[in-house]
Amino acid sequence: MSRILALAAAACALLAVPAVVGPFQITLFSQAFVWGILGLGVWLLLRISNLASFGHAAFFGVGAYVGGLAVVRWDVDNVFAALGAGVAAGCVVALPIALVAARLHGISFLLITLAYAEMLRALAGRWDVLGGTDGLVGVTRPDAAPLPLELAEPTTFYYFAFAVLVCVLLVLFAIVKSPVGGALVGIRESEERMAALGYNAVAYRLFAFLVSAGVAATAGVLNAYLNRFVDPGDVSALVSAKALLIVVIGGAPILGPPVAAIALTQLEELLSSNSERWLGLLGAIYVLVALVAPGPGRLGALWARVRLSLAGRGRRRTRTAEGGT
Amino acid sequence: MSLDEWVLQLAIGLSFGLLLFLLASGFTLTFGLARFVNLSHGAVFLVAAYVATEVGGPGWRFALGVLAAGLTGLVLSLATYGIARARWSRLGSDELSQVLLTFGVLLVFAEVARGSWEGLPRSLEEPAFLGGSWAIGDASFPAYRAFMGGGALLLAFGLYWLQERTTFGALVRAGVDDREMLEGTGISARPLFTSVFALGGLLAGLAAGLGAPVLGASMGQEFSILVLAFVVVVLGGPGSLLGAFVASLAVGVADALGKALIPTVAEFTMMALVILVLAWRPAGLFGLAER
Amino acid sequence: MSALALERVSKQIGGVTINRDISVRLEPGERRALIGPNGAGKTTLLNIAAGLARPSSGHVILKDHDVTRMPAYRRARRGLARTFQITNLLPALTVAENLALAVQSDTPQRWDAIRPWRRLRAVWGTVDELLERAHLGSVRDTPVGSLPYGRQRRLEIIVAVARPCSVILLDEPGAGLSSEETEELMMLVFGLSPELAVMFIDHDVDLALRLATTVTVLHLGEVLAEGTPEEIRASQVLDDIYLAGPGVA
Repeated sequence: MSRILALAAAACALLAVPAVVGPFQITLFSQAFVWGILGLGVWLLLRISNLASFGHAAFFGVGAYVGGLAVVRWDVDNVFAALGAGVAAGCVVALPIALVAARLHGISFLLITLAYAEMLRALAGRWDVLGGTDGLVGVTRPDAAPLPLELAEPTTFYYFAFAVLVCVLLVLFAIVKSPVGGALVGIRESEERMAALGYNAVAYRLFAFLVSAGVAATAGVLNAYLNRFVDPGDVSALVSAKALLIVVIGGAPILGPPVAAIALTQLEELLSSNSERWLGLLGAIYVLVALVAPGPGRLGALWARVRLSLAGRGRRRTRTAEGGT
Repeated sequence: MSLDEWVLQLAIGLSFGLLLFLLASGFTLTFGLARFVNLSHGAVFLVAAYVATEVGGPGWRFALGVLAAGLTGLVLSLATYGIARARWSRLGSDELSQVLLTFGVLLVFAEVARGSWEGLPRSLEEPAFLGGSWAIGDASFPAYRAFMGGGALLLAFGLYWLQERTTFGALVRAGVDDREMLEGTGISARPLFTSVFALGGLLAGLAAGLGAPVLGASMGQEFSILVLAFVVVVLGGPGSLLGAFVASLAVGVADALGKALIPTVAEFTMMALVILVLAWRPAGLFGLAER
Repeated sequence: MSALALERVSKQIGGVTINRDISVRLEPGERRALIGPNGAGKTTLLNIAAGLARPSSGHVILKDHDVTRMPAYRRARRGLARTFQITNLLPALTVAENLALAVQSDTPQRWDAIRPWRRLRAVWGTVDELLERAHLGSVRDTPVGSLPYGRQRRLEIIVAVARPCSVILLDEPGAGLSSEETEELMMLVFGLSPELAVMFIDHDVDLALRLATTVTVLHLGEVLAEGTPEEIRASQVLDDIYLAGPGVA
């Protein structure tokens, strides 16, 4: 019960943000939502399939380019259509990697996903159709039919991005808590056992992978409209690394990535406005987090402690299949 | 493409592949022995390349540039190791933390390069006596590339000799094969790891120096070179030097041919090749069985 | 029509012959013991029957269907169950959750990615029934990783038979358990259905001969002898392959 109250309070706070801060911060928060969604994509793959991907920028970037192209070249003036197209494209791009993923050891998978994304980036920089190294400029925010929303307004876009984040959270939450979620955990624990029980492990893993890629692509589409701009930098290792960092900081709970994203975005803004060497400083942050974070998610450990104290009673927390959500 | 052109691209690809091997070997050894993923390797190459262009010059100064690059690589690699040692017991098994740590180090090193050289690309001219080009039929092959490849090959042989014929090499091979067993014999792992990190950095630096006249030094290399090195390591099988060697050559040739034949999707054909090989052999061409 | 048939199955790995020309017919209701010294190729044969390994030659026929090329999960769907020598449960999940995965594996619920797992009354109802019957009700919500070994072995068997199956392959069901515990487990399996065909590997030759209806003796990859326990006991076969005769593993 107290958990739900805390959640409601946080949601209200976020809903009230545009009334309290200026347009710059509103945009910054919208960006944080985008990173949060991307982080959720990586989170799903890591928690459910134990696969750490350093290449989610590939799907993010594909989503971004599709979103950009939709407006700039294809005359598609509907954000939902763009989202649909972006997700579909992301899934298509994910297929080759998904098929090899199951057979690759953790590190090899990490390296190959990095390589995959980097190659897509080189491609993006080279194709004129995608604007080459300059990317796509002048990406206007499309219509949101059937909703009467004017996405060009920063505040409206903020609420839209927030709504998408909430939707993604709900979808992932449902999956994780569903029989499929349970089966996926089983497959993570012992693929052999699950096969002996009649489960088609390959199909399940593919499903998880495609959902993960689709979520990343969703973030990409939003990013294109938020920044009104898409370039090969959207497919870079920096994007993938940020997603991983968000997941590590945020930890096990499903709300970890969004919270970590908000924190990290504010931090990045602080650094970049105060120093030209902010990338180096960011690097130092990565190093610190890696050295200091006690296993996946210091925020997660904090969150767990907060929950226990709020619950009051010393109820023994048995670990559940959903990974402590 | 005429036959001459084919041979030319092959030669270019092989010489680049040999250079790639120097870079990848350090990474695969570190990974095979210490189970440590060192993403900073790319930035080590970057800084070393810049140093080579800074210190190197015409005539005999070129050799100085290459050596300075090698030294830079060695120092930076040891620095990464030093940072990682702060939490080695936990990092040793936590690959995700390794990735974040070494990526952070990569960003820091890259920023050092950007700050010191204003983010501008630099180049180094090969010494005059190694310049010019050789004719392959109608095509012309830059002579320096041959030297570059030859130098890399020499170093590769040196590495092979080290690996196969010295106690140090035996220890490394044993450790790659079965780390617990090595530790069980009472041989301390730390000096071994330090040496491997140092060696890997040295080789990467030398590769940057040798490659400077061809590749130059520019921001972004930390990623592009890194990616190729990773592909080599995964293809060849993490921990296997022979695998890295074969894969380096293959990747080098594929890269050259791809760029010559279908420049717009060159990387994609390479990626497709990699995925196909991995689908057939998930542990890499010479991969060790999963532990 | 036999429940399971292995026809002239051979398996080589890298030049070493692990199974050579092995044929076994398992009838419904039969309890076949697969015995033989270490290295005789018993587990490999079981893996081939279950679909975790492919034979180099020969066929695996499940109730009239040639399943030699079929992956393990499809054979499971056709009624083949198996347990593992090293307990292969899902340690992070609770006892109930492990069972639930088994119970629902034949239902369309296994594709449900939306509705909460906890709410599938039908599945959890069956789970609780099974837990009662197996005397595991008290540990319903304990993560399997924390269970004592004996209970894990029992759960391993229950999970395997939670689904409707016609053939069950048991790999060293008594590994790490006493003879009494093993016998108790085996009687549990036999008691499930008179039509169930069981093939099991056991190092305890005495126990195996006592519980089985037929015996196949493997040695160095080949079938050395086949018959009822009495026939096997009467012959010299076991003396030949075990140093000190039957009863010593």
